[in-house]
Amino acid sequence: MASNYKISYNVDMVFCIDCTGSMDNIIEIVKNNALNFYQDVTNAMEKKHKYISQLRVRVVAFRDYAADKDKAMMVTDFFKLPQEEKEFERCVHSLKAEGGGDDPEDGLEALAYAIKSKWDTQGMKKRQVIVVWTDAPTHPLGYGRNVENYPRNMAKDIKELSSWWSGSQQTGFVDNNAKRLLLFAPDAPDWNVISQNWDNVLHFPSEAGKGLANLEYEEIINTISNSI
Amino acid sequence: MKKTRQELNSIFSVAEEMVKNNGEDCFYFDVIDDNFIIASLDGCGGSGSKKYENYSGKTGAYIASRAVCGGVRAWFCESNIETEIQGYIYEALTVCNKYADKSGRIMGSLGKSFPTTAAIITGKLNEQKIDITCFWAGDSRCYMLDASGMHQLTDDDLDGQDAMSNLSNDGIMTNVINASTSFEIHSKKITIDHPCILLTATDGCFGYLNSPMEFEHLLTDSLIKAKSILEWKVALNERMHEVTGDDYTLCVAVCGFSDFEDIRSSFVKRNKYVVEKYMNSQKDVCSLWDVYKREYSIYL
Repeated sequence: MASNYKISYNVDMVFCIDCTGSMDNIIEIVKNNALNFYQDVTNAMEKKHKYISQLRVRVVAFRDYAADKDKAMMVTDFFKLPQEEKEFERCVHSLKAEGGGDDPEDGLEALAYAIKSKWDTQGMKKRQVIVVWTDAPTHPLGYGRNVENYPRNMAKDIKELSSWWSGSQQTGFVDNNAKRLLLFAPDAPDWNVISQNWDNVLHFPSEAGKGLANLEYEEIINTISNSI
Repeated sequence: MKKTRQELNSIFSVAEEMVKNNGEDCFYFDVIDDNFIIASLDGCGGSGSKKYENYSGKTGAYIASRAVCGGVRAWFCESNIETEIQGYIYEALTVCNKYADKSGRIMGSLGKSFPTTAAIITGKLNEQKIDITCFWAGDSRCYMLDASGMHQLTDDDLDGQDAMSNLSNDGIMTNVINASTSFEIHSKKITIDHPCILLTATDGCFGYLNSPMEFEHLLTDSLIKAKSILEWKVALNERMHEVTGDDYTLCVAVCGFSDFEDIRSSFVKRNKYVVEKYMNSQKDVCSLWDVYKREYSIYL
């Protein structure tokens, strides 16, 4: 017997997608995951009588500043869903896997952009969710800082980035109660450092040739949606 | 002085699950000789959402609340409260882990093995007094309700400022029973006057209301309109069903009243006061809470 009570949340999601050449064989799967993710979370929440009153999604597509220069980072504003669903889909479909240079990529810079999003701060019940899809370890922060378009005011190292995630009101950029970070990333530096040390993180360590099983995907969606 | 009885009038639970056969709450109540126990547990559905094939595909949250509840039952029945409850809870978690399939690849601080909250009260009635011990971890709560009002007995393991902000701020749990990280089972011994009503509650009972005052009103308003304990129990279930969006589990121990009419009439005056002072007030809820919390928090 279920009650008629409905609890509503304002949810912001940022999708950080590795668009380097090594992602070529899985980029379409990742794009589909990104397009389906918010709906899967919404459906899982509704089973628990939790509803999203406002949903916004933005995309951070990343490569490698040193190798890809002005094609290293593509950042969008938030799309309001479902009103701007077509624009969001068009953006995701436009992503191409190319470039990247060496094996590690600038995933930490992408994560920094995501953390510094203009989050919705209204409403008592809110969630700020970042999802990262990548098959590569990260460069240290600042690896590409000599490139002209490298962002100013970027975290200088993983320690500073950690304070952006887990810091006090003075240093943090996300709401400590609302934040969730979901990593689809290899068990490699610095993703494993984040996985082991940051709070509110869920990490699925991707391995070549080993995809995400249905049961694991269900667990991830339920962990995110039940903690919303 | 009002006459009271040195005995437990009634002990019962009110519980409902949102998704049939997948509710993550659990409860236990019992009486052995002069001792009684009430316990409400809430498996944490977010951090405990991993499903275990060895446990019929149930989630870690579902298994945890039941296993730990079993540990609490074993402690109460076998040890006669002579030994530490912690050992029984650790043993329950150890067994959970021992037979769990280890196939999961998902890592990170958001997931925990077999996480559950617990709010437990054990008690023994003496002449005019009850010696109780509260044990708890997480955001489930122990309460005492008497003619002076509702009193929360246990501190929430949440990062909010107080019971009111913890309702509205959707805070993070800072301590929860689980098999993968360290945790603490808090305990507190209190001697209180009877007659009174002791309660343990999961957050589905009170967490969807706007204030702690509303929870007291839900309890006393349904009580004074009932003609028996059974009617009160049914009314409690209906009221909580209307206001919650989660599984809920409330355990109740009614102590030291002479009969049901004594229970009911003891709260008529208090209910009237709560309605006039808090429920019908035009003042904002925060300023009302500032007044209400003085009495509500005296055991915290």
